[in-house]
Amino acid sequence: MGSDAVYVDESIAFDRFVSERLLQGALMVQECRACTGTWHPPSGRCPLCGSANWEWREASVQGELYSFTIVHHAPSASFKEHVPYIIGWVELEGSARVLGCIVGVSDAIRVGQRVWLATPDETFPYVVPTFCLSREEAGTK
Amino acid sequence: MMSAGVNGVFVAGVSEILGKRTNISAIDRNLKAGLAALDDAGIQGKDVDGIFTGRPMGSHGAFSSSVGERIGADYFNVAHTIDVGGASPTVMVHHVAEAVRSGTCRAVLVIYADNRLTKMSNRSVERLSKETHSVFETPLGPTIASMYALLARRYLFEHRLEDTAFARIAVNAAKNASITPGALRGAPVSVEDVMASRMISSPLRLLDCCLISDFAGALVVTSQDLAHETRANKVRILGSGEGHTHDHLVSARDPLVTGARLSSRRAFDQAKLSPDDIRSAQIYDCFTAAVAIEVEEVGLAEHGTGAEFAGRPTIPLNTNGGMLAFQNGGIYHLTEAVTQLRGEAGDRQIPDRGPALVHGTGGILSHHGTVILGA
Repeated sequence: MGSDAVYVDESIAFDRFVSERLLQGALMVQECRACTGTWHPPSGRCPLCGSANWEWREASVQGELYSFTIVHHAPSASFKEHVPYIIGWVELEGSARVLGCIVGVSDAIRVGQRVWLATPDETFPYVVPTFCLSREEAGTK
Repeated sequence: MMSAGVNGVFVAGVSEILGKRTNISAIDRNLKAGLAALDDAGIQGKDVDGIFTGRPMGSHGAFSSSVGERIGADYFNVAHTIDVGGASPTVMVHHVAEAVRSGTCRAVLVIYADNRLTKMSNRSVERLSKETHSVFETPLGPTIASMYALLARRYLFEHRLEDTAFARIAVNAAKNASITPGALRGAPVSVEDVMASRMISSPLRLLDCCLISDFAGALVVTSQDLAHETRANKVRILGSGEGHTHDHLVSARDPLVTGARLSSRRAFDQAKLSPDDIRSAQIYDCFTAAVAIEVEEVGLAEHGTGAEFAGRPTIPLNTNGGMLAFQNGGIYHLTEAVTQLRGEAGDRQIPDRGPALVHGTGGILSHHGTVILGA
């Protein structure tokens, strides 16, 4: 790297990488080579042991609903037309816990349910991890 | 030199500046609250040698000195601006107690005031929602209520409770507020009223959420020798502590294991008391569900019984109606505890003026401060 190297904010670069891979249908988490811990959101060091020796790993597309909320009162104008919408807290199989949006049929939503990663809904204001309550629906999203 | 046992720390004065909307600037509001607390303590601005404030939205990091330079003190041994959200008042008192106990300061002003309602022009919900993680939370469209709702839903699941479990906490708050002058939600409500109020972010409904208002309150914390020169019915700080685990909820390792365990253990150890000794409690109540979790985390209720305890408390709880029914702010949990311990709470005066616990939390159960006070 030369003296004209540009300053790169590591955190922003990590966040961007995860967002970009999300659009391709993959949810990337980090795995520590020292303590084997996995985590999300991204950070330069393992939040469990402090090691900087880690690697990216593609998370399982399956998870379990740790919790959820159905938003009826939107925080701002850009979300208002989408209410009610569901925010899910998902324990990804074998890795980390992430927050995402739950789309598709959701009448019987409950904690502990299986969820599947789907391609982000392009009508939603932002690109976010997106899950469905059935494998079939996730596959078609 | 005084021994540690003699070197007590006291709250010598308090103030509450009430009103849902108050058309004065944040700095004037802080100043007004600070000077009123000094008046209450019978202490002059020149006697103050430490100042702690919160950071009103949009203000700079040295805000405490902006307030401090206006109160007539020559210098401060300690001046800090603390921003750990709703835990700020209790965390400030914890640090101030340490500064006085160590001899660094003799008289410290603790002020917490902001124009949460007037300055935000009813957009404080939007503004606060932007304090979530900008990449992995905010784009999902959560309000702060949504973040607490995620914890509330998980809590209900883990303890196999119905969605009605938190409603009695709002009922208790409204009942207490109904006899508190200045309460903004002063009409009693029933469980049915709570469950019929509009859904904000399931399972939390409108009456599960705290009020949004301007707020201003202050305390004067002094050393024992100075306290003796002032009020007769001063209140002693018996113990205090703080604890922090995360900033954003998405990063919380075990979301229902909180820093309140650290803050309360420290406070109880210092006070040489146990939860059984506590005779009244003021618990930060941004949402009903938060109170249920906090009373367990500070040790007042057994694991899984917090919603029941907070709904039908066995000791006086949030005696002014708290943020759910009195006013927003968090500082009023402290001023209320002091008012009760002094025996000056009027119609809502509690008979037992034994040890009182005040707990504050900020962020999404991220930050915690516990203060134990004694008459």
